[in-house]
Amino acid sequence: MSKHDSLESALYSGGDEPSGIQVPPNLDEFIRKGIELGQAERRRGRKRARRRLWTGSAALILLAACVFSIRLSPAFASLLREIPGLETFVNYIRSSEDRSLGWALDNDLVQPLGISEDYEGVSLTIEGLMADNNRAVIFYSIDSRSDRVFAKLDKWEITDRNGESLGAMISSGETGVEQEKPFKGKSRGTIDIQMPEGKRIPDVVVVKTTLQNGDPENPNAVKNAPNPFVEPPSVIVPDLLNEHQYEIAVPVDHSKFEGMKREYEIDKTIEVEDQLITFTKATVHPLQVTLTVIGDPRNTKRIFGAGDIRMTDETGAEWKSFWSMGEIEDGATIGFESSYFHEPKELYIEGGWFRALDKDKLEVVVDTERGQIIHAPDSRLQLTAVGPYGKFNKLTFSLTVNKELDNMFYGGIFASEYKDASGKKYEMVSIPGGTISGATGMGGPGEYESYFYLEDVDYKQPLTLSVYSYPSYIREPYKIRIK
Amino acid sequence: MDTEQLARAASQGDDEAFYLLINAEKERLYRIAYSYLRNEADALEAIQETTCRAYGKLRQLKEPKYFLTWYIRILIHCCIDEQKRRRRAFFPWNLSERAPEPQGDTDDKLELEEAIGKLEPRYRHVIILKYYQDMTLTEIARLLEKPEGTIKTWLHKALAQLRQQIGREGGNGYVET
Repeated sequence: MSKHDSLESALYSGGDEPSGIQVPPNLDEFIRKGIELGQAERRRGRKRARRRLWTGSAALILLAACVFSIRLSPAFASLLREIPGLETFVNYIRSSEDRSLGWALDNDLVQPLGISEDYEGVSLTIEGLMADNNRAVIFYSIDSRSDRVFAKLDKWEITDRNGESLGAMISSGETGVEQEKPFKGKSRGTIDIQMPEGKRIPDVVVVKTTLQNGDPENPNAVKNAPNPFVEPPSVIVPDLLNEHQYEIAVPVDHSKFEGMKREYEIDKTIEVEDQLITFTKATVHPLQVTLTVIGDPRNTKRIFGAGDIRMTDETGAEWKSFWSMGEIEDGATIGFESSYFHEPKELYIEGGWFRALDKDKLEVVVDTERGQIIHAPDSRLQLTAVGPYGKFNKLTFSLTVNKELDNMFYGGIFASEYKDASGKKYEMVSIPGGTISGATGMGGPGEYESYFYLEDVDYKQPLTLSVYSYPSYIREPYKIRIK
Repeated sequence: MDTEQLARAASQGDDEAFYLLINAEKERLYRIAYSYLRNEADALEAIQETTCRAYGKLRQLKEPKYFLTWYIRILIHCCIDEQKRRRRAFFPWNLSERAPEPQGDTDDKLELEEAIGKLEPRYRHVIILKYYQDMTLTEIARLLEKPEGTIKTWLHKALAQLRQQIGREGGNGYVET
C-alpha cells in the first residue's frame, strides 16, 4: 500500500518538490540572450518567405498582424501525428495565426490522403487536406531521394477535373524545409484555396506543378530559390536542365462538411465620410466566415478595403480578418477566422476605417524615358528607378506608409493593365518563377517598394498606371450585429 | 513600478522593463519549462526561445496585466515545439533518461509520472499546471483559453484516467479513501 492515501495528495507531493527542480544560476544569461535575439530579429524585419500566386481578378490578402494563440493538442491531433507525413502539418496548424485551422483539426475535419507521383527519384505527395464548402487547405510534401536532381516545384496550377481554373484565390507556402540544399531531402508546404463567394469547392481538385531539375555538376545550378526581383529571368532559366509536370487529382470528401454552414442576412448600410457602404450577408463555415460588402455606385471615392475590420462576440472576443477578395466598390468578400465550432450567442462586425481614394486620383502617370512621375495620388508615392531587367524594363516605386496606423503590406499597388499616351493598352509582364504582383518590403521602415515590369517597346510617353490599393483613409466607427 | 506598469512600458519599447518582468518570475518560469522538458539544458533553451518570441510579439500584448499568463502561454508552446523537435517518445517525461533502480517512495512517484506521461496532452497540461505549478482552475482556464467548466471536466477525466492506469497496471493502489 502506498504511503499516499489519495491520488491527489500524491500529485501534490510530486509537484511540491523545490529541491527537485534546481534553478540554474545562469538562467539570467538565457533571458538576456533571448532579448538580444528578439532585438536582432526585429532589426532584420520579418522575412516574408511566403510566395503567393493568384488566379482570379483583383485579389488581395491583408497581412494583418495577428494575436498569438496557442492551441493544445487533443486526442485527435495526436492520432494524426501517428500518420506518417501528417505530423509536421499538425505542428504547422497549431502554430498558424489562423486559429480556424486548429479548431477544424480538433473537430475531425482533416482528410488524410497520401497520394503520390514519382518522377526520377523525386516524389510529390498530397498528404491530406482540410476543407469546407468554400475553402480547402492541401498539405503536400516533396521528397527527393535522387542526388542527380534539384527538387524545386513551381508554377502551381490548380484546376477542376476538366482543367478549368477554379477562379479561386490561391496561396502556397512552405511549412518547413528539411532538404539538404540543393539536392536531397524532404520539404513540405500548403496550398490554400479560397473559393469566391457562392462557389463550392469541387469534388476533385487537380494540382499541377512543375519540377525544375538543376544540374549538381553545374556550379551555377540553382542552389536556392532564385529571387526574381534580384536576378533577371535570363539568369534563372538556363540553369534548369529539364522540367517535369506532376499532376495529381485530389479527391475532396464533401460528406465531412456536408451541411456545415450558417447564413445570416445583414443588409445594413453605414455612412463613412459621405461614402455609403452596405454589409449584405455573413456565412459561417468551419474554416472561415465570409462577409459580403458593397459600396454605393454614387460614392465619390473608390473604396479598396476595410482597414481594421474584425468580428467580435458578446464577450468581446475577436476573430481576425485575413483576406479580402474583390474591392468594396464592386462588391467584396472579406474572410475571418471561423466561429463555427464556438457558436457565440451574438456576433458583430466592428471597425473604424476604410482604405479609400478619390476616384479622380486613381491614375498614376509616369514618363519612363525621363524617369519622372507626372501625376500621383500624393507625394508619398515616388518613382525611384527605371532600368532594364533581362529583356524587360523595370519600374521601381517607393511608398511610405505609417505602419503604426496601417499594417497592410503595400506591395504591387498597381493593377496589371496600363496604357500609353496613344491610349494603347498593355499588360504587365509576368516574371518566370516569381510572384506576379512584383513587390517586396525591402525599403526602410514603413517604406514599401513596388515593381512594375514592362515590355521594352516604343511607347508614346507618358504611361498611365492605376492603383488598386493605396494608404489613404476614411474614418467612422461602426458596429453591426450579425446575429 | 508594478507588473502592469512594467508590462505597459515594455510593450512601448522599454527593454529593461521587459527584462525585469521576466526576471521577477524567472524561477517559476524555469520550473514550468523544466516540468515539461525534464532537463536543464532544454529548459534553459526554452526560456531563451520564449523570451525571444515574446519580445517579437510584445506589441500584440493587449492586456499588460496578463503579461505573465501571456508569457507562460508562449512558454508552453515553446516546450511543445521543443518536444516535437526532439521527437521524444513520451511527453512530458522521458523515462529512459531517469535514474535507474527506483525504490519505494521514488517508485510510486515514477509510476505516477509515467502515468501522467501517457495522458492526452490537454489532461496532462491541467495536471502539470494544477499540481506541479499550483495554479488555480481560473488561472489555468485563462492560460489555456478555455472556460473554467471545461478545465474542471478535464481535471476530473485526467484524475479518473490516472486512477485507472495506476490501478490496472498493478500499481500500489492509489485509491481515494
